[in-house]
Amino acid sequence: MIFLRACLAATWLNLASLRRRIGSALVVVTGIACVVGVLLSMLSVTVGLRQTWLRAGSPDRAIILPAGTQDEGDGTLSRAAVAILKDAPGIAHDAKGKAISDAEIMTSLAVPRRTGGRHFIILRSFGPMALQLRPEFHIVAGRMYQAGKREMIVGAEAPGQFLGVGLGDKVTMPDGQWPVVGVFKTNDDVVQSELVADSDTVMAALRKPAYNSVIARLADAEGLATLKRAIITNPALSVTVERQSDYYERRSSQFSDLNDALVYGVSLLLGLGALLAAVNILYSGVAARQREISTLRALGFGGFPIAVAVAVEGLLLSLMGAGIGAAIAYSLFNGAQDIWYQNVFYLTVPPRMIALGLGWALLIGLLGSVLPAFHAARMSVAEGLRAS
Amino acid sequence: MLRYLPLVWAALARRKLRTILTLLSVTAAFTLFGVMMGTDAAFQQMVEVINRSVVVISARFADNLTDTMGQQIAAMPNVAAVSAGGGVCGYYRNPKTQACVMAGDQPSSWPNLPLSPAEWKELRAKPDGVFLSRATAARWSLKKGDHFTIVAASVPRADGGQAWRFQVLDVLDDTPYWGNGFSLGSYQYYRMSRPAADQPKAGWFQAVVKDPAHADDTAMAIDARYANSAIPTDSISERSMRSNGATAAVNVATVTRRVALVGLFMILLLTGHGMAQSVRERLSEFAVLKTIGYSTRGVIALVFAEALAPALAGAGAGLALAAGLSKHIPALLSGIQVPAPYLSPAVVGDAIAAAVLLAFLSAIFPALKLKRLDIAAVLAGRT
Repeated sequence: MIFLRACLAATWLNLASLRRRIGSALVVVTGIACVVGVLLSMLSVTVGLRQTWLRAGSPDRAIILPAGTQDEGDGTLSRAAVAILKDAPGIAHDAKGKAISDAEIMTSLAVPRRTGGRHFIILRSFGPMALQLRPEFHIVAGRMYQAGKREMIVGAEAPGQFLGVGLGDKVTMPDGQWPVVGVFKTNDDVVQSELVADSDTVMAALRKPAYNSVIARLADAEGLATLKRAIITNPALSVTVERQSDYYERRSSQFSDLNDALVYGVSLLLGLGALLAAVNILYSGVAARQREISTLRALGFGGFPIAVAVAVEGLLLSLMGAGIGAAIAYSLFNGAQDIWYQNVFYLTVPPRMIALGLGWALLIGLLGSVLPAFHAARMSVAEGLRAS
Repeated sequence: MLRYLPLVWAALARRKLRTILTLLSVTAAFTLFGVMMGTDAAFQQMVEVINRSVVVISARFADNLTDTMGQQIAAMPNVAAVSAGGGVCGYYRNPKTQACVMAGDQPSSWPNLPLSPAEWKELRAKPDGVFLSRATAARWSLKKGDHFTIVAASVPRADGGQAWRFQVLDVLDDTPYWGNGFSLGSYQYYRMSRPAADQPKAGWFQAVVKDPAHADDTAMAIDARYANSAIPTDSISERSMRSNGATAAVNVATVTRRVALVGLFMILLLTGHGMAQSVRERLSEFAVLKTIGYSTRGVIALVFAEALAPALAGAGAGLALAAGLSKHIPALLSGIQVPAPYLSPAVVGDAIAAAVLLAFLSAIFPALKLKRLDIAAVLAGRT
């Protein structure tokens, strides 16, 4: 108990003297704020983009792709294969007994971005069951496209980044200009920055003979296993099936691996710089207070409470820095719209990432105060008292 | 000037720990600076090295450019040569390792490639032969003579399969043109391996124009010619294509520059603080120096030199570390294609300038303090 009180007293004395060392303290705080600010602002890209991808996938849906295909736009599924797949066992049926599944086709169209340059937007095409298959889909302005008509609808986020795809605009297709007749929202996911039209009309326009994928609602918990079994045992099919949520999880790793390597590499280097800075400053803090510390020791304080005091100072300053860095990153980036190739998304700084930033800062603070704390605890009382 | 050196050294050596920590943190900051600005420079270089005379022509809506179109484009004004290109894109070994082999066969249409005439000949003689760059060979762990298979679902084969077998003819030096590394195979092999119906279809055309200043006009003329045909084209100079590509994802330049700046700012705070503290502690020494005849200018020069030494040493060590790291970055990120950071003369120049500025900014306030130094007051212990 006495020991604890000694720790508290030493810590309080130490913190009270911080006002005299305000310059040093600010350097540590700003340094850590830089580390955490950069970490969180870089992570906001990965997190925001990943969430936008993951929200597109539902565990209730399965996606069927040609074997060997990684992306839903890459491979081809013939009409014959699609006819078998759409009615395969394991797929849910609606009240009229129709299988809730659709074959989709994707293509990219060259359109300018608001920031300039020729870029690409995805044109996805839905089949007749789209509304039952995608309950998250709803029209927010204009109207739905009519099947068989050369018209399309646009995701709510696309016009913010791309030119000429807004409601009322006309988009160039191989067989002429298709008007954009409606604006839709899905689940704030990647689909929400795409164009959508009727699949058979798009296939005719593009003169494509085959589909890219089949998306199906699973009948029940056993649906996926049933569907897999049916597909694997059919020698006429060479396809893979996976849960749609797993598909988006897998696809999102293509950018998150790169971003993670970049983010953690940068934070490691910046963190190392901040760590060394913190060590340096805590050391000089101890050196400047040699006399004060020795006086405490002479009064009977043990070495440990002195060390605790130094460590608490390091941790508190780191925590303050982390708070400031997180606040800046949050206010600058959280909710800002950005674009990654065809995907419009919002930068996100979620609480768990802020916690990660705080943890990283505390680690730096702790590592940074170990040596100075040890030094302070071991200082010779006699020499310290003589110090000028 | 030389007589100051021992003084600078003595000041730095007196508090060894502080000097070493400062040096290390400056080194960390400049390693970051080197990697970030080097990555930025590598992306810029990928655009700048592009020969301005190449126009890339793709089909606007589907991969169905025909041989005939190639001949028609070759006859258009300002077009010197046209050749077809194709790509076998899929994965190598692990579905996460995306891999592409480009197919070409006409040296005249690929002025941006580093292949010698003999190597082009070798490529045409050996159907499944591929030239890899060192970076690509390292990424896929391949060497000369190795066979490898790319699984490509998006390029149908005549045999109905998805496996494309290749053989490494040789491993060539990397080129800034393909900063991510390259792999080039034979167009004839690409063509003949596909179903008969697909064989006359090219993935894209590479056209070389006579007057590079009008490359963009030629691209527009080609698109205009096919605008109302069954196969509208989408043509763009290779240079514009690359610079669009660099901003297609999150803008690389903005991110790397910001991070490098934040790192420098952090270190500026540290060195500035360290310098101020060091001068404050030694005010009486400076007073003594002035008393025994050192000029104010000399004393101030001393402070600047003390700040400059660790800044320059740290910048040098940091850049050296960044250069060492750069070589390993493409291999470390094996599943992803990023160019190795390029420590161009401009990056090194910027780093030195930043180090000098850093030293100047961290020494300026202590120096101003010394300029106004009241010798008598300091020596009497009144400050």
